[in-house]
Amino acid sequence: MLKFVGKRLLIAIPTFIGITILVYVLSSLAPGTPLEMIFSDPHATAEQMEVLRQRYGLDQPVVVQYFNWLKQLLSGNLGISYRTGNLVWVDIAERVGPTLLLTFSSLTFSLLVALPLGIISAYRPYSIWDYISSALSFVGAAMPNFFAGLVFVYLFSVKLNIFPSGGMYDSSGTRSLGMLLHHLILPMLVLSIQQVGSLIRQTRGSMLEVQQEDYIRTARSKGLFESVILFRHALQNAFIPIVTRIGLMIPFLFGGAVVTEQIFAWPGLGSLMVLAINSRDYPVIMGITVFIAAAVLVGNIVIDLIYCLLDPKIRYE
Amino acid sequence: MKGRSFVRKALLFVLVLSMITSVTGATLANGNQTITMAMVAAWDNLIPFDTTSSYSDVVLDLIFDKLVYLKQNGTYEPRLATAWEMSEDNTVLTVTLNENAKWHDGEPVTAHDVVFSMQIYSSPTVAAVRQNNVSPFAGFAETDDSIQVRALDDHTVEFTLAQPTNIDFLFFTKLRDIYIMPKHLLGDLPLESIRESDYWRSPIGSGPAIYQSQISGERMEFKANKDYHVKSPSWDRFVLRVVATPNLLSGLMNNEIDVLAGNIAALQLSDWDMAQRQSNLVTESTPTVGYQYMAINTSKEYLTPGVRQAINMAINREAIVQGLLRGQGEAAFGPFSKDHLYYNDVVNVGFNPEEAKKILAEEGWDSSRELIFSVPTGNTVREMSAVIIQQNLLEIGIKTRIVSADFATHLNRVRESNYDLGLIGSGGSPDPSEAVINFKPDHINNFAQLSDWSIYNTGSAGEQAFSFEDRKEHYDKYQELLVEQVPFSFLYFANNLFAHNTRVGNIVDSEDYSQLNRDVWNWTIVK
Repeated sequence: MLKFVGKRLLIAIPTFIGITILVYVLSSLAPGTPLEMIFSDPHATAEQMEVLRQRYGLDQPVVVQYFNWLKQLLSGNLGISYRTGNLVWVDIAERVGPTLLLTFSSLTFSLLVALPLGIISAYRPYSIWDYISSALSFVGAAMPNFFAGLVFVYLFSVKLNIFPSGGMYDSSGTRSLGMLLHHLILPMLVLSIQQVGSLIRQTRGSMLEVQQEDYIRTARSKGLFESVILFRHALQNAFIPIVTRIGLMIPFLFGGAVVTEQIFAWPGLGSLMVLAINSRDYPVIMGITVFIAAAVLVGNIVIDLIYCLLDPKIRYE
Repeated sequence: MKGRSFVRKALLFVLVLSMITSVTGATLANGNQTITMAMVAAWDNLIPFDTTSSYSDVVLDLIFDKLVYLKQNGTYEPRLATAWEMSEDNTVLTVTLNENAKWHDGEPVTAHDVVFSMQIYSSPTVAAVRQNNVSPFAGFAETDDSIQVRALDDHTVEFTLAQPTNIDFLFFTKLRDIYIMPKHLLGDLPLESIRESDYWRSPIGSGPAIYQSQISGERMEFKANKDYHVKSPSWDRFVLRVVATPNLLSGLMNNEIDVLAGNIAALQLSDWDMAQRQSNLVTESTPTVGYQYMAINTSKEYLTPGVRQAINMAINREAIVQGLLRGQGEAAFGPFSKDHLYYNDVVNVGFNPEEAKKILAEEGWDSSRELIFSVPTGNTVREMSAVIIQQNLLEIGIKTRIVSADFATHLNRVRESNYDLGLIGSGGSPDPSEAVINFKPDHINNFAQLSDWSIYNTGSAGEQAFSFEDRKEHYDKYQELLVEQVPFSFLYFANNLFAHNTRVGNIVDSEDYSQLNRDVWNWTIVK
């Protein structure tokens, strides 16, 4: 097992470096520099731009800029944001909490809703529950986040006035957990809606497939309780493709959070990324890339380890 | 039946969830004395000399003081300065400061703070992003303390100008973004590392609001500076929140937001009718000095002055104003709207496609040529106006290809001359000198790539003219040159679609928001 983890980590390093090269080069190839936005002010002069270009090292070739950044990263420094003047890790640290709260609550909610609905759908195919969950899954999977966000705000915030339309707290000056959860619900639901849809379909499909297997028929002929057949024999085996799906959801959750955070003014990494891209703030773009790439790579290794726990036939050599 | 019951249960669940979380959230605590203002993007930093972001200016204007309060009608009122006087030869400005002004830590604001602030802006060691805002003063940027601004006593400051300069130009165009910083807290820091001070994470200013806390990118919270020297605010707390444009109206309707931050948080046109129907809102469609224009690349040999004139008269501005702005704006033919003091009707070329065709024929326009029309994304009306302009130009025989990009890409393309036509906007100013810098041939914002100095020279001469009549003469000529050479084809002035909750009163100067200052000390909570 340790050997496997070590091997995966070794493979993850070039993948990680590849991601950073790709993002750095693509960012640098985009026309415009951070200076365009910093000096969009009419009072700025070409001389001022030149001073800043040199201060930021933007006068160097892209390759040199990338290696300077990498050297800095290896010494544990993500650089300084062009936009805020703060250390990048400080800007990211301020935003990572809200993103993790949003994405993990959304992941938990998606699992809590989708798994039971998918299992029921598969266990009682073509029942009313199957039709309801199928309808939910198709609507959910087909609904883009930005659209769901606007519909939810209109419905729950404007019409019913039961949830706030954005932010993390109200303006009262007190900040409580209850208030945070109250503000979290709408963005969490919006971020979950597509995940729930696709996860219901995945769970239903896997469960239906497993239920046709010989070992399920054998279990039934042995007279085992349905609950034992369902949860011990069927679900455990159906879980492997579901876990794969969950693994694939992690990057999607970070990606989806960009749109959701923008709509609900949720101060996470997604909205920081949009600000950074719009102002060509390369150190922040790279800092967030490092964070997300590391999260996804580690997430994938964890998923691989879960396979091993679920299916004893899977061995890591 | 089962399906209906499920939907009912789901709705009940959501309602209960909402009740539990909202009750535990104590949403109404202290609410009555708090004003919540919304803007659509976050500030970048709290360093007054190191930002050009309008969103940062909203925050800085609350924490720090400026010398005067600028109004859209071209006048200004006392703020930190109680009086100002320009010498007869227009080279020395003497400013008297409010003797009651105090920093948020209780120390008095003195003339030495003003001198220190001007030195920071001008210092070559600091190399501030806003350094050029203090360029009119003698000794600018020669050494760290060379700028000719000195304290005559604790409450009188003397500014010496490098050459005779109009005072309105100084206040509206140069000193507008100058914030006064505390010497007693920053004066001992080495200039080369002044940006790195912890002071900027929780700055102490002398403005109407005292910084308390922030959630990065989501909100900033302040308490009232009850000792504010202009007027003690009647509210207790001020919360500035970042709200996405589509959610501005919903936030106002359900009382999460009290007031919008003016032109940087305007309602969408699609929300305007609904906003006007809300009983809890006061709405105001306010004409502004900000305008949109189409830069024309004068360095392209095929875009001759004649062709540029034809393009200028082929654009149906009324169609844009009535069709896209639904009447909430005004056609622009120059940088000044029709009720601007310096407007010259010579710029009004109207909509004349027939004349435009004739000019194109005389110029020998090659109708197979396709122009690159660069359009920045992010402003829906502006993006849609590009399609109307494209159609208008096609009608006179000019083909265009719209190339859309984010603003940074677009700006780079325009600055690097990789375009033929390009849409840009400006915040405008009551002072007529505002756009002149864009026509300076060696300037980075010479978007039209002009090589002829005549427009710039004529416009900048107005900065050294002192009576209204003298200035008007310069700016009349300036407008005549603009319509002859057409480096820009001006398009429209869009109104600011402003709204605030009825619980907040005395917001009478919404039109002054365009000058990036707000008289929040006059705002009151009505109920």
